Formats: sequence, structure tokens, C-alpha cells
Amino acid sequence: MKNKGYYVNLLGIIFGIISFLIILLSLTFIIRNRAYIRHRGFSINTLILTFLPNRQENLLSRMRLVRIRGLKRIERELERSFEKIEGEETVIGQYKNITIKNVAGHIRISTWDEDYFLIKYIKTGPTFANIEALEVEVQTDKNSVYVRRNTRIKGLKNLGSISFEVFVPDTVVRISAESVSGDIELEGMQRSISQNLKTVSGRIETDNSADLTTKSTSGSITFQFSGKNLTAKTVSGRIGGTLTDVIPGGSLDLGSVSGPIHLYTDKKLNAAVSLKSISGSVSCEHPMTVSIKKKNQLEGKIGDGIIPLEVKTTSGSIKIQIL
Amino acid sequence: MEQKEQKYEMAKKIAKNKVSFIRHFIAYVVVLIVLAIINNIFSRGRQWWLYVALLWGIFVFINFLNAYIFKGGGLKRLEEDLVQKELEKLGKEDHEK
Repeated sequence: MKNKGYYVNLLGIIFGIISFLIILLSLTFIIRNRAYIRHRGFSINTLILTFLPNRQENLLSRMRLVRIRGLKRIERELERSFEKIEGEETVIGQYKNITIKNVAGHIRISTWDEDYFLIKYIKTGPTFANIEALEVEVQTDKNSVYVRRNTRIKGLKNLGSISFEVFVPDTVVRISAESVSGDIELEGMQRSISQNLKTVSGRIETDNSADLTTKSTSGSITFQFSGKNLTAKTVSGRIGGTLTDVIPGGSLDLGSVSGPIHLYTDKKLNAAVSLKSISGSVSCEHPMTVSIKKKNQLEGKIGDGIIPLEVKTTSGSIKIQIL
Repeated sequence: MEQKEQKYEMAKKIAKNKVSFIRHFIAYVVVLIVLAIINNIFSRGRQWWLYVALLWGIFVFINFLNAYIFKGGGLKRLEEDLVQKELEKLGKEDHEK
């Protein structure tokens, strides 16, 4: 009969072995789940990289540290880690509207002959944690497709960006795109597509549009308009647009603070023109019936004057030319 | 008599270390289970309790080595061996003189 001491010894040894196994398992799990290793695969280099001391996994500070240590191969590995993660989503269905909401990154939308939506995206960021935290959410309802950028990292650590390249069927009726810091470009648009485009620090460009609403704070706005209602507002960017075959019944409203506004219109334009600037110059090439003409203000009728065309700036110049 | 007392003290120390290790291990496992549950209820993304398991586990394992492998006298015994070796060396030098 073995005494209690024997069992205590045996238990202790078993516990010792278990604690060793827990150490091994937790270490393995931690290493395998480090974002960097998960992305780049397991190798000696990635193993060293994942345990380099860093604050918030800041890639640049890691690179500096690697440079100091003279680890050339690892440095190259780190530089490669700036590469992006690409992905795409396909939406099949007869949807008439699409809304894309982004925060940082460009949005490029083109029409194509196919009858489905293709949303290609590229996620970039200073760290893998940033890139991995970014999510592209695609939802649909009866008539619309919604594409949103989400992130699991909130606040100042939220450093990743997504650039979208979206292909939409040419049967689409309305496109909305919003970004905070990124350009919005629309290409191959039909005259029948209404657009609502907003960005804060990027430029907006569309090569054709029905009703158009564009807003930018510091970026320029360039458009070709053939619809009924037009709104183009910017603070410091320039507005440059072409107005052809404008449909009567709507209004044309353009404004900027310091950016110039330059419009080209066809000869057929029938507009009640009101051009106002506080300190910028104002000019119109169209023959018109002038009602008010001052240094920084011009009002009158072009043709029958059916469509109200209002252009306002604070210090930017206003110019309307014939195509 | 003194040697017997020393041996008794040693045995007491080893037994104490073993019991202390078992207590330490049980506390380690219980706390880890609690942390793992908290981690997976409140923030399912990052398994931070594994870092605790790793770091604390190293101390638990050192405790185990101390209690069962080196039996509470790993470094002390090494020190004694070194003293013995130095004494032998000095004895040899004296003999040569």
C-alpha cells in the first residue's frame, strides 16, 4: 500500500507536465495567431518579426528597429508587408440604385454591359492589424445595393483605407458615393443615371450624368451634366462642368468659397442666369438679356430663360462659355 | 544530531515546496479558466488570456522544477559543489608547497 506522499509526488509530477504543456500550447497558439504570421506564413523571419518590440504594431518603428539591427532580409520582408489585400464581391440582381460609403480611399465606378454588380476593393494600412480590421459590407434591399466600409478598430488607431473599383450594369438609375478623404470618379456613365457624390478632401469627376448633386470641401468637381437638377458645391476646390441638353423644370445651383467656377454650355441653353461673387470676376459668353450688371454680379436671361442657373462664389471667379 | 536536524529541515523544505507547487498549480488553472471565460464573453476577438497562461505558466513550471527536480536546493547544491572544488584545489596547492 502506497502512502499519501507517493500520490502527492505523482500528482505534482503530473501537474508539472501539464503546466509545461500549457506553456507550449499557449505559445504555439499566440505565435500562430499573430496577424503578421497568419498573413505571411510561418518562417524564421516572420517568427522574429512577430516578437520584435513595438508600440501598437507600428510598422515604421519596426522598420527603424530592424534597420538599427541590420537585419536586411527582415527589412525587405517588412517593406513587402505594405502590400495590399485585395478582394471582390459580386451582386446579382436587377437593382436600380447603388450606394457606396467609404471613409479613406478612392471610389471609382464604371458601367458595363454585364447584368451584375462587381465590387473590387483594395485594403491598405500601416499594419496588418489595420488591414485585417477593415471590412467591406455589401447589402441589398428591394431596389438597392449598399456597399459600406466598416472597421473593428475605432478612433485614432483606425488607419486603414479601402479603394473601391465598382462595375455597375448600365441599367442602373441612381448612384450615390461618399468618401471622407478620397477621390470619387465615375466613368462610362449614361445620361440617364442620377448621381449623388460627396467627399471632403478628394476630387469628384463624372463623365456624364442626369440629375447630379456633388459636394466637396477641398477637392475639385468636374462633370458633364444632361439632366434636370444640378447642385455642385465646394469650399476651396474648383468647379468645371459642361451642361448639354439640360431638361427644363429643374434648377442649376453651383457655389464655391474660394474656388473658381467654369462652365461650358451648349448654344441651346435657356436659362435665367444669376452669377454672383463677392470679390471674384464674373463673365458670360452667351448673348443674354441683362437685367443687372455689376463688377461682381451678372443677372439676365439666356434664350427664353426657363431654367434657373444660379452661381455664387466668395472669392473665386465665375465664367460661362459656349461649347 | 546537528546533521539529523539539517536533514529534517531539508525534508521539511522539500515537502513545503511540493505542497506549495500543487497549490500554485491549482490556483493557476482556476484563474486561467475564469480569465478564458471572461475573455470569450466580453471580447471574443483576441485571446489575451493565453498571454497570462504563458507568462504565469513559466513561473509555475519554475516552481515545479524547484520542488521536484532540484528539490529546493538547485543553486545551493551547485554552490556547495563549487566550494568543495575550490577547497580541493587549495588543498592540492598546499600539498605541492
